[in-house]
Order: sequence, then C-alpha cells, then structure tokens
Amino acid sequence: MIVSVLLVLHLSALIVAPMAVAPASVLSARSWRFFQPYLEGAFLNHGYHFFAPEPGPSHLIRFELKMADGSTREGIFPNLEQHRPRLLYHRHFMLTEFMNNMIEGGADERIVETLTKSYADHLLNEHDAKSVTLYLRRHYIPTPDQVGNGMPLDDLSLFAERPLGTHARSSL
Amino acid sequence: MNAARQYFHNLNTAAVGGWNRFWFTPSDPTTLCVIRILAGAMLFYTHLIWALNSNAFFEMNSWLNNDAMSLLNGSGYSWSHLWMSQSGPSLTILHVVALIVFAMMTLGLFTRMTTVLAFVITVSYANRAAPATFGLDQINTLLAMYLMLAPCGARFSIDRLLARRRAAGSCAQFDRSVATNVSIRLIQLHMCIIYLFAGLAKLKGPAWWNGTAIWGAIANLEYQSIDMTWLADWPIVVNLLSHATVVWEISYCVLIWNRLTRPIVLFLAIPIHLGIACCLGMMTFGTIMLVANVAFVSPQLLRSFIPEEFSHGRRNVRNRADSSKDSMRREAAAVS
Repeated sequence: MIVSVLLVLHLSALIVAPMAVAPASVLSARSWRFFQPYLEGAFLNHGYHFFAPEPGPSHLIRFELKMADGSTREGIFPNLEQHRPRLLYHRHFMLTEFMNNMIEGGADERIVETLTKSYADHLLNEHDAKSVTLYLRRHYIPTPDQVGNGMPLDDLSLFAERPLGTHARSSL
Repeated sequence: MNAARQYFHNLNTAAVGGWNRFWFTPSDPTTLCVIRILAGAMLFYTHLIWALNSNAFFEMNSWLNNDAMSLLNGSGYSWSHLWMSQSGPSLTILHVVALIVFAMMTLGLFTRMTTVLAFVITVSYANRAAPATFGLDQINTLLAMYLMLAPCGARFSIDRLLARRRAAGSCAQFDRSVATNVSIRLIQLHMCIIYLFAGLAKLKGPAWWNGTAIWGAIANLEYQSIDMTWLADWPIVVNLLSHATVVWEISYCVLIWNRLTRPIVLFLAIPIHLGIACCLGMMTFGTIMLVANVAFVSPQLLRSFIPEEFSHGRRNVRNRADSSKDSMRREAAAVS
C-alpha cells in the first residue's frame, strides 16, 4: 500500500512538471509548487519540450576582449573547433541558449545581468583580459527556397546581434 | 441500484488487480542489467567530459559562478555536493570518485551501493551546472534513479561472478523480483510521459502543422553534423518526417503497450534517435534515448542475443528457471 502511494505521488510529480510549463492552469501551478522540492531536488523538473513548439533560430555569444597591452581579440562560443568532443560543444551551446531563454522568457533583469557577468568573468579570467563586451548573436534558419537558390547556412544576412554589456577585470 | 453497486465493485476489483499485476509481478532482471551496463557507460562518459573541463563548469571562475547559480536556484532545492569544493585537489578527488563509482556501476561491482551513489552524483553534477544541461542529463538521471531501486547487478556483473563463486554455482538470490519489475515499469512510464509531452508541446508550433519543422532542425548550422539540406528539393519528404515525428511521439504512450504494435514503435525509435544522433550532432542524447527504450524489450528476447554461458551458465539454466517459477508463485500468492 505504501509503495503504491509513493508510486502515485512520483508519477503525479512527473506529469505536473511539464504541465506547469507556461501557459499553465492554476491547478498545474499549485500542484507544481507542492512537488517543487522533490522535482528540483531530484533534477526531475523538466518540460520535455524537445524542438518544441518548433525548431527556431539558435543563439551564440560573441565577445570582444581588450587586453592589458591595448590589443583586442574576438571570439564566439560555442565554437566547434575549440570545444571538442561534441558533448563539450553542446554544453557551451546550452549556456548560450539558456541566456536567450532567460531574456526571451522575461526573467528578472538582475538574473540576466548576473549571468552575463558570470560569463564575462570566466572569459576575463581565461584570457587574462582587461575588459570584455558580450553580444548575443541570433542565427536565423534560411528557408528551403533560399538554400535552393544557393544561400549558405552561415550567410551574413542570417545573423542579428544585441549587446549584453561590457565588464571590466576590476570587477573580478 | 444493485447494478450500479455491482459495477463499482467489479471496477474496483479489476483496477486493484490490474494495478497489482502491472507493478508487483516479479520479473527477470536481464533487461535491467543490460540497461545498467549501457547507462553506466554513458554516465561514465558524461562525467568524464565534465571532469576534464572542470574549470569551465565547476570551479570558482567557471561560466556559472556562485552568484549566478545562487540567484538561479532561488528555491534552494537544487542541492549539489560540488559546492563544497570549487578548486584544487579536493575537487579533483570528487571527480575521480565519481568516475570510479560509474565504472563500478557499469561493471556491476557492489552494484546496490554504487547505483545509489551514481544517482546522487548524477543529480549533484546536473544541479551544479544546470544551465549547461540538456536532454542527455534528464535521461541519465531517470535511468540512474530507477536502476538504484532494483538488483540491476543480478546479471552480467562482477557481483554475480563473486556470488557464484561463494555459492558454488547457485544463484538463487538473483531470481525474478518485484523490485526489478517496479524499476522497469517506472522507466517505461517515464518514457511515455516524455514522449507524450514532447509531442503535445509540438502541437503549439505552426511548423509541425505545416510540415516544415524538420527543415528547421536540419538547416540549423549549430546543430548540424551531417549536411541534410539537400532535402530542400524534397519538401514532401520533409513534411512526412515532420508529421511522422509528432504522430510517433504522441501515439508512443498507447501503442508501446500493445504486443503487436510495440515492435513497430521500437523499430521507429531507431531511425528517429539515430537521426538526432548522427544529423543533429547529439550522439549522446540519441544513444541514451535508445538505451531507455530498451526497457520495453523483453528479457527473453535479450537473452536470445546473449550466450547462455555468459548470462548464467548452462548447468544452472534449468534449476534457475524452476526456482524462478517457484518464487513467482510465492510472490504472486503474497500479492494476492
């Protein structure tokens, strides 16, 4: 009997997690709050929205570093040449997608700023730079017709950028 | 009135009986043991990549520093033992311990203990670097969670070799068990929930309705590992693949339970997940989804692919089959 009750509770939690992804009913939201400690504690709090609602543009972060000697460097992540094996590349890809999700999802400005600063501090530390400016780069998907007419997938017209801010090393 | 009472009585009897049969019928551990090896190997690889890039994800100046993660984990429920150490030899030791645990789990050494530790470690790493996680980590966690509930070291393991040596060939303690069945059922139901919500969420996107969604995936340069953009000349194929994906995902939770349709559903999982693995650069995710689908493969079928002497030794097969039947009868009697 106890095992059955635990099974029902566990399965309810599993169903409530994706049900509570916006737009969610009041019932789903309240149920999620009840299960929140269990779902978050056991890393079960997922919506399972793989490629949903539909595959969209991807997001990368371009950065410009100012070095102590006055020179500048530029980079982008994720970077297939730098991040190998593919799993490591995908981890970095998730970081940039997460940043976009925070911005697009209307997360608190303080969260976006702190996350940007965290990424910036890592870059400053890794490259021993003086300051860094980050840009969120959106890479749109070309249509089949555009590709059929010879447009490459990395055509410059498919990119758009928005600045995320500049951070100096003194803030480390 | 009597008819209504009779109806509810029958309904109750059938529901309770069905529930007990579904969850508490002892089952053969072969399937679960195969999943243990495959999932254990994936956990080892996943955490090896984490460990080799510790500075990027777990150290003081990682992409995700204390301030960012504290703010993101506002509720405080996403615990992680990795907060105890963020640099130096102590963090290295934590990584090494994690890899040893996953290796032991894969080989089946002290499996009951290592599977519990594997689950704790998997959750801990995922919680620490949550923004860098994706579907792979979700499936890794669920498999680790359910494997720790059952004797998944009962076959193809060092534990089994040691037990056979101790008991001079008798392995009665590795019979069918209710725990094995509960574990397999939980993996199966969790997969049904995943596919159902993955499919339902797609219904919100116009691209899955107009049949162009698959194009959005294959023409995404950041995902692409094999160039499939030649499909631009084959829009009907793109439409078919888009619609088939949604239909397969939504119908999975129904068709997978029918004995006749199950092989078709499982067979279709192979091109879908291999497609994700090979074309969209997510070899690990595609592979672990297929591993989780193994939960629907019967132990009998799996045993037919594995030499008997490797599985449990020819001499013991008949004895153990008889003993399994006995234990099944005992446990069925206990349940009823």
